[in-house]
Amino acid sequence: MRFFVVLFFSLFLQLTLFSQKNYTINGYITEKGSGESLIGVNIFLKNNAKIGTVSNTYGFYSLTIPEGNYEIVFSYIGYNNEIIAVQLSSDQTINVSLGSGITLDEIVISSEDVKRNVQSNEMGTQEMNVETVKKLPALFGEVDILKSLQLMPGISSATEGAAGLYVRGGGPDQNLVLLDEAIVYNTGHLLGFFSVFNSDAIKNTKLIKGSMPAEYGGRISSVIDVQMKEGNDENFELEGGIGLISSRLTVQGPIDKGKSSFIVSGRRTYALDLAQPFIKNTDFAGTNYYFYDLNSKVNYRLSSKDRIYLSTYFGRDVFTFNNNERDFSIKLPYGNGTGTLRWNHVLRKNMFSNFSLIYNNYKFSLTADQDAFQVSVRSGIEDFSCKADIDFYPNTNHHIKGGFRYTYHILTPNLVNASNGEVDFSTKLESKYGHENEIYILDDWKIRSNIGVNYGLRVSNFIQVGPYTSGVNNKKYGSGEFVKSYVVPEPRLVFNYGIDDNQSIKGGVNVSAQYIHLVSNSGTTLPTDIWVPSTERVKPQIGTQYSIGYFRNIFDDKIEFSVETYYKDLKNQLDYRESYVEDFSADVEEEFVSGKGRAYGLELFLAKKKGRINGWIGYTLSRTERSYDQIENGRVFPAVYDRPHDASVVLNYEINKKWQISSVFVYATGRNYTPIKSLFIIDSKPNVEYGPRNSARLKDYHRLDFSLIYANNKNKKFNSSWAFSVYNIYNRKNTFFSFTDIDNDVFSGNAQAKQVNVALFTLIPSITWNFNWNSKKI
Amino acid sequence: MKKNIAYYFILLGVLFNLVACEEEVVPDNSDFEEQYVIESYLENSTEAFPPYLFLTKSIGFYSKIDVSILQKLFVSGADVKITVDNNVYKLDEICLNQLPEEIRKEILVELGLNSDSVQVDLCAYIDINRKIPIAKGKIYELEVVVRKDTIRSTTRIPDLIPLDSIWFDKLPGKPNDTFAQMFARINDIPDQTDYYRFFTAGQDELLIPDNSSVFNDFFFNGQNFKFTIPKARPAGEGFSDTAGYFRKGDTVRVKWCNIDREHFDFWNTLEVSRTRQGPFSSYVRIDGNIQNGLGLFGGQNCETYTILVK
Repeated sequence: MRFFVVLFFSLFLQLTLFSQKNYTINGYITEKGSGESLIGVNIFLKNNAKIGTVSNTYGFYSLTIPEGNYEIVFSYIGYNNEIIAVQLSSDQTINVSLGSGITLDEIVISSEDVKRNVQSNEMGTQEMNVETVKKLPALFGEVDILKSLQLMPGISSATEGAAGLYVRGGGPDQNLVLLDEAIVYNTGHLLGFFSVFNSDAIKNTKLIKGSMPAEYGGRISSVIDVQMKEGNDENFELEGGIGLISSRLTVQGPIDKGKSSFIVSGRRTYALDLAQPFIKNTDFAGTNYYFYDLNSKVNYRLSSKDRIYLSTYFGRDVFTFNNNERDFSIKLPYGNGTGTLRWNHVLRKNMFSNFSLIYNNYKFSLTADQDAFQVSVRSGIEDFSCKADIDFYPNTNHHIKGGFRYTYHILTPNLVNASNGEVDFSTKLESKYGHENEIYILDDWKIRSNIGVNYGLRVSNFIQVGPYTSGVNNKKYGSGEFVKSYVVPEPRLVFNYGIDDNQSIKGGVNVSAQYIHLVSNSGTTLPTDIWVPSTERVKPQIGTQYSIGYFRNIFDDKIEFSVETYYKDLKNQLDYRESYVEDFSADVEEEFVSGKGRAYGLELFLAKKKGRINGWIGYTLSRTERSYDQIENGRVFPAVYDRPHDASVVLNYEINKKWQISSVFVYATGRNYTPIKSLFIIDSKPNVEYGPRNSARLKDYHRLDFSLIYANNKNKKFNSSWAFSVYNIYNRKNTFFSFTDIDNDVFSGNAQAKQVNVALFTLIPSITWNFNWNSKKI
Repeated sequence: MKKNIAYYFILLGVLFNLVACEEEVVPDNSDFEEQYVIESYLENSTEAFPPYLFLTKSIGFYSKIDVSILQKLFVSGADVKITVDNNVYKLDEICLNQLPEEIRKEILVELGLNSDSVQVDLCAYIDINRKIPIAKGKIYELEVVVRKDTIRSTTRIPDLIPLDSIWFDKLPGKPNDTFAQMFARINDIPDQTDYYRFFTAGQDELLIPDNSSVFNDFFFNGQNFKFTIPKARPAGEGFSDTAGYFRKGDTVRVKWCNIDREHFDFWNTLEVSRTRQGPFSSYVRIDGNIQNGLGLFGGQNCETYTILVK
């Protein structure tokens, strides 16, 4: 703590030194032709690139420099540079629009863009541009941002084809997934095979797997910060695609040109809809499955200093099964909903604020009935949040940020209602309630031209409140009455030491706390999994991560290289007790055991971002372990997320303006599992006894994918493209799951037992047609 | 249009044929360790078998389980004792092939086994002379000494909450003249958790448990409760529209038991373990009540009902 006091003291000395004859240039940076805010644009002086800043999440920038004449460069990867001459003798507002390069030759990539990995005070951070994602081969042609992130070192998939992520040995529930600041609790459709993020509605995705800055909290593994597009405020635009299993359509345009815009984007699957004509005359009429997403956003510029945004997301998976022969039906809808109302306000030339009101939920329900019998199950989580963040740019060496977030959580366990036609029954379980409060401050400080530090402190607090009946002493708590409170200080630090302009060493340490937990019995998250809060019996998960890395750009910044190592210490990890079987009558927290874990690894990353041939290679060597006193007497075992070797190679080649080809190769150590140790006979049938947890592994996983994109872009209002994709081109039979086949007639003397491995995703070709219409010729 | 849809499904069919692929494997089984397995019941009912205990050993999973392997599973020469009311009773070892064929067949039927298909000489430890007092509320302690190992367990026979009534009704959905659905009613006892297990048998069939044969009274504690009893599906019998229903005109049986918590946990985990085979499932370790071994020492209080399906 003393360290932070010293740092802040130094900071204010610095502020004093810089407080004379300085003027501020600020403004918003947008994309030419659409008005979309551009995040992470480099703004720097042409004659001294060391002096500069970066646009924030809303496209706002502020640069405070001494009086004088300057040429200021606005540079963003994939866009043409904008250079503006400024005579700085007073504060100025300069809004800038950057145009994307029409041809490869026109795109100017500033070395400042590619040097960010070396010179910025951040590490373990990956940004994934949607345009990059759209080039990559996709399973069933469904472009998926989360699956693309799995190609980065330190990130692996929960199961094959799944959008769930394991980041540096953390579970899928330990990732903070934000969509326009709203938490998305269940990121998967169709048992996790497709993510809930429709790529047409997404502008930017940032993943922080290492030292997360103090502005983020609530999860101990990573942050996946997804920003929705704002809508074209200059022209009307229609964008969409038709694929094998789903179609997409996005409409965007100005409401009040240059001032206000909207975007509405939808996606829906239809594979089983097409089967309806064949089903409707059978006993299964009405049986169907589909999922859909609907994203929408409007924004309005109230003044040059004020802007408001309202963004919403609603998605559902809907499964319906009917057996009319036996009067039996099941309906199972589940999904997320989010809504974010934001107000951006420029408080001063060098001070930007954002205030948000956020609502998000995840709801699961199931109803089944047959004759007079009816059963319904519902569960979910609902959050009401408000937050405020202030960005302060006192000078070019400091970016200070502070804020708070308050969230009221309502967590509903599996509530079962049943009826046998005479009597209604229900579980006596209650929803659980909690207040989560977080406050933070951070400073991104360039101490010297080659030394920087991003340090901050976050303090989080969780208060469980009633109504609640204690599982410890049966004490009853009234509505709003405090049950249990936790406070965790979460210091964050990243340092950057530049050896020269092209290489640096960075290190970091961060502590984070997690108060909302999801314990899954399977390798990935399922719609039936339940989120539970920290309570008097469930302590918050605490993660401490130490990381250090070497970053280098070579060959005139054409090649970017990094090596990072990390060590994570995890406390209060949750799992189900041994022999746990789902029991709707019990409070699920009675079934938890608490333990500890650790994860450590080495990540190598080599990327070529420039040129017609580009791509990257990522490799991770890591281990992840857990131990629980109540499981196998505290034996340390590899976590289900443990993947000692994980590698991916991504290659893009832009053949010409019309054709481009991409390939992805993925290799990973086989998933671990708990093997069957022996058979024993009970009830005249063979039964299985399992060996030590996660003590066996499936065969190594690897596959190669290809995609070919033909774009018929003739600079017209209407453009279209075809995406041909082949998943697992050499038809590798990667085991998705194993099952055992045991002959039950054991005393006949002919019984035998088999283990069968099932490969689900062998060679899968797909084709997607995408189109774009713009009311103005580009 | 329909032609286009048909083409679409042909394409999808081809794709999914390419997609799913099974491969039989022989995993490493080198760390297998033999364990003793107990299966023993103490049943309070008018038709109960005398207390008996099977003592076997676990085997490596991937063996072909032929007669010679099976025969070696049975452990001979153990000292098996059950203590109740401070009295110790020793069980006698007996193999079925020592018995007259008619008695052998009768015992196999009582064990739920088809006597024609059983090729193994089943050996068990039995209280042949029914000296052990069997009554509700009693607590039984088991001690098995085999070579240098001692295996222990405890069980209790709970109160029986009998079926209040049993009847048949039409199948849900479309009319069916051949099958009927079995209903029953019980008066559950309030202020205690009761655990139930049931077995069913069609005409001239063996009494066997359903795949989900145990449940507790959480949803209907202390209530007069109506529910359906599905006909248990024999191993190897496929699913059908009439699975779980009884054929009209048959004389069928239902065996209805109360068991204690540990007995319930054993069957609950075992039955769930048998069904955990999907891609998103995790394993379930069977929760036995045997110290230094696997299996179950289970007391149960049962009644068997014979009914004509109408």
